[in-house]
Amino acid sequence: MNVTAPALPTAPRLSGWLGAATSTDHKRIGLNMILASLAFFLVGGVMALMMRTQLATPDTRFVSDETYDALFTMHGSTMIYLFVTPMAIAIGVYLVPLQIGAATIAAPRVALAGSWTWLSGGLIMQSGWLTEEGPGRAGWFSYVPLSNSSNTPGVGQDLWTLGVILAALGMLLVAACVLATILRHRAPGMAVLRMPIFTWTELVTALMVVGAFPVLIVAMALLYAERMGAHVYMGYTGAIDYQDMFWFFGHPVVYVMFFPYLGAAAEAIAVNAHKRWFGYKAFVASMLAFSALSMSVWSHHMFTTGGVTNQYFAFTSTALVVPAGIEYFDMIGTLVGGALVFRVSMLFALTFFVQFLIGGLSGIYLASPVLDYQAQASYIVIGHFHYTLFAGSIFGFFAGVYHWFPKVTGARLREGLGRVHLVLLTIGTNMTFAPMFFLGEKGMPRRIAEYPEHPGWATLNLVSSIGSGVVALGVAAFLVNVVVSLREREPAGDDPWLGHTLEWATSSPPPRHNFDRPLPPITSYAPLLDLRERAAEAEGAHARRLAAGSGGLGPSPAERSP
Amino acid sequence: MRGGALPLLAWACLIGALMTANAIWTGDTIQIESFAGALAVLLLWALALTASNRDAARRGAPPAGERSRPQRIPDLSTGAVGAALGVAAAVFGLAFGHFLIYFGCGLFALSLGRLALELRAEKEPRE
Repeated sequence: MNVTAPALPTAPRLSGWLGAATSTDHKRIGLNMILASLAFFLVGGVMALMMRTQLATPDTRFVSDETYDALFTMHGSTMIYLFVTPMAIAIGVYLVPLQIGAATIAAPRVALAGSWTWLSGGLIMQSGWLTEEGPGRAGWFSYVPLSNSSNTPGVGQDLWTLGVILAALGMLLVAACVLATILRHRAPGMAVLRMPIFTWTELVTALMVVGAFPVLIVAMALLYAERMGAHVYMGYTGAIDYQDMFWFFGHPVVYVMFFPYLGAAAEAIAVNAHKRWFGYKAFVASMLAFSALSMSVWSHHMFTTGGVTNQYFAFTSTALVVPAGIEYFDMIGTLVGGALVFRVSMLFALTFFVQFLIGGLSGIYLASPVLDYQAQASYIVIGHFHYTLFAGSIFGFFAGVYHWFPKVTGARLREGLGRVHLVLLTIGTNMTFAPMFFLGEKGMPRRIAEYPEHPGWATLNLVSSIGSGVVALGVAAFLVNVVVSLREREPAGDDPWLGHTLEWATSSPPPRHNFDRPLPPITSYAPLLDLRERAAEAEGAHARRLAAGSGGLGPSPAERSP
Repeated sequence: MRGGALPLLAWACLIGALMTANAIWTGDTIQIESFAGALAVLLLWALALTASNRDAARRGAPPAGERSRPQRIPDLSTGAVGAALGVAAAVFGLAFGHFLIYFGCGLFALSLGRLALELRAEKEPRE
């Protein structure tokens, strides 16, 4: 457990972009991944806007059918492999060493190599747009036999497959470093049950990545071999085997895209409520159970294939509501009796919990095979997972951005622009995704490039498309906020929100080795709150002594009495 | 357990229990293999952590006031970036052109050499 570390001149110092690109500082690695993920988010967002333009009215021919297939494939792939998942890990790369009082991440060279492997995979995946046949167009899951070379010919799908392998390998390496950091680099006193909530969410996230991502890499390597002529996934059994392997990764990754944002929202709520997170140990137990259960629910994506035991997966999927319920209960318990301050981070965190609830409740319906047979391949499914991943996770992400931006940059984001951002994003997401439940109920299937005149479809699709434009305005408001806040800086200080955890005990932004001053004693998962409470107790005792006339020279009569 | 393996072992137990339930209920080979693969990775991790820190496992949790030992860490690593780009170039070459595979392998080998130099410099005593 080594935590303080002067750097060694192991290589000549580099400055500028080359220094930033090769730096082994976990904060720089994390920031590089965050910025690259945000760039991919904008790319994926443009694809979504193009799809919604196509679907705004019946019989629109904004893009061809082939381009639409490529758009929904690359939109999903970009958002999952290149934005939400890596962002969840990258935030951990930046924050986890700070939260546990470490000077660096474990195996920083591996983390650096992993970040570049992931970025290379993303660029290779996107390079398919430059090919004659276009990029991958068999969906972000690329089921066999749809994705074999007969049904999806062209080098674009090859590039997609290779890109996914590299991106997954890179994220696996980086997550392994986060895991090793948590397990081996905690500061003295930082026992497992004194780790901050966010660090716990990163721990279970890293566990899922380490357990599930290797299976995706194997599945994709075999898919590439299949496309090169090897007969790997043969017939119906082969197709089911591919789906089993893909979803063994594909469902845990949903929670990889959720837990860290839950942790960010939880930290924002606890700090803005000026209160400890309610039910810490129950929360930790629920995280462990939630993450383990989430490794065993994957075949609910395959209920209608006839190739899986639906009862087992319906049971495990429905069981997820228990740990999820504990988290919501803890959130409410933290709010009750707290001195609430409704900063933008708090508002985003609360919206995250409300909107994720819609995604979660619709998920309970889809966990029932009987209902899933009715809803599968319809817009109900699209509405469900966008409520979990966008209306849910992204709001948790923004809660984290507004919460930790002062720590990373030393400047506060503007609260006014933040509220504009929140309002636009909330209206936009609900306008975009709520109509999808009704479209699904009215029978609109997913993955269609155009649709005929049909009672009720046109209006709902138009509302959804307008909503996507409002989402874009919300994202634009966020970008404006970042630019304005960095250009005309409002200095934040080291601890602008009276934070609870160790990252607020260092300067903003933190120095190269994170802590230039001694760490406070770590006696719980909220060491800075402990310090303040002890100081307040001491002040209270002093005041009582003064009031009792002892002049602070000895204990008051009340304190003397047994 | 100060070796750090306890959360891994706890989680591996949960995965093991779910794998057993899956095996009893479904008997599906590929599902059990996927579970077993994840379980094996976790147990190997836990084993490696425990083996590399046996003293800590015996000693128990550290006192809150214990001072940390200094540790040497690198500032930057061109070797790590080069190795990653070498692998990426070789993989890209599978679809783009075989010359990139050779280029990528060469870059990877050079970067490993660079990494070896970086690690050796790190072990040299400080002046």
